[in-house]
Amino acid sequence: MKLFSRSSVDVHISQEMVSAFLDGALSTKEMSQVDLHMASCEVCAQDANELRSVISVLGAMPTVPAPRSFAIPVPARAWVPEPSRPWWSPAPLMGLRAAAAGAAIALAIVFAGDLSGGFGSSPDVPIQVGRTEPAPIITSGTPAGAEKSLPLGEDIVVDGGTSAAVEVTADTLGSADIQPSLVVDDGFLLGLWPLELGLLLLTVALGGFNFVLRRRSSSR
Amino acid sequence: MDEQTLLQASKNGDAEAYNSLVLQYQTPIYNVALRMVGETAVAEDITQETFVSAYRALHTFAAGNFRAWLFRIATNACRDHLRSAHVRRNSSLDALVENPTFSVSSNEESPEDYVVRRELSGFIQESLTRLPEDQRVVLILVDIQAFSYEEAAQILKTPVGTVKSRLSRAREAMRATLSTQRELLPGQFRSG
Repeated sequence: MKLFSRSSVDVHISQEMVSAFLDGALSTKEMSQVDLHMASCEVCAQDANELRSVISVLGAMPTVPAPRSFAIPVPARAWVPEPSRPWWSPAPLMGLRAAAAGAAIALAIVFAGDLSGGFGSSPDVPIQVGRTEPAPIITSGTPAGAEKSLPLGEDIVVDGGTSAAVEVTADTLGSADIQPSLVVDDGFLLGLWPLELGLLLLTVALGGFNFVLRRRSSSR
Repeated sequence: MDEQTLLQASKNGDAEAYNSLVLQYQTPIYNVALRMVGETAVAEDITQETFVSAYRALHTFAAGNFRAWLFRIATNACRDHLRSAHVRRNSSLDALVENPTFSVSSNEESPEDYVVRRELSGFIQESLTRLPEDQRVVLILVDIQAFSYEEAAQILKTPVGTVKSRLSRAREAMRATLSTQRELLPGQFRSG
């Protein structure tokens, strides 16, 4: 930085130097040189005074309060990681509820099918006709001559889905009527009970679990 | 919490911590913007833009002077605004005088003094807006916001020597402008 600038005939301190001098931004040596010059130069002293006034006026400019808060709006927080949800929060509960309902429906279907004998390939009521006899001829409620043949081992389905077994013996052969005796066929039930029991336990377990978690979730 | 703690929390996504920094700096940032552009509504926009931009760019701020970094964003936003095609280069002095931001008053002040001071504020603001941008920003940072030469150089990313020379020219221009309205100036200036 040039210390002095030449104006017409006199040598004066440069504007930049006066400015820095007023801010105390000169070296010690430069400060003393400027001080010395100003003591003898009215022009430079006047310059310095006017510039000091400018700085003073600018520094006295009032600080204008912020008209409002410039805090960032709430949506800007969207990227902040959300707190982790407990595993029993509503979304997983929905799946659990659906699983319990599915198990209950499956149980109902299996049980209803079991009771009604609705599973196609299974025998409804096994009627063993003349286990040791050759193929008998059964006449059931029909006049003699209106015969109905029944091969050995073939089943008869009794109306109403009731399981019935008609035992045809030599005594009954040739009689006018056959009196069916109702017996519960536990052979089929024995085949499905593990499935039914499993579904029942699953339904109860899922339902109970769901109930407990819902209570925990609602208490939070 | 100190600034570094707030800054670190802000970087980790703590919006509340960042808003604490906003509250700390919003007034000086707003004042720099207001002195640069001379319009309150625009200054508000620039201030908001500054804090939003800084928030988005926080991850790029590694270390150093956060204040200088924030003011650099603000001054750049002011310059962008001033350079845009839609800006009115010259603000109306009447509008500035009517501006409520210059109606600061005190109980000891007489009505006459209040009017003179308000006119002076408006006149200074008008003079500021007529300065070249590079001089204006230095004058605002050093003489109004009281930044050091070094900090102003850091904000403006220029050498300290450049700050000194621009400041000198800006002061000289202000002196020339203010000398035409001596009746508004303090007695010390009028005696010159």
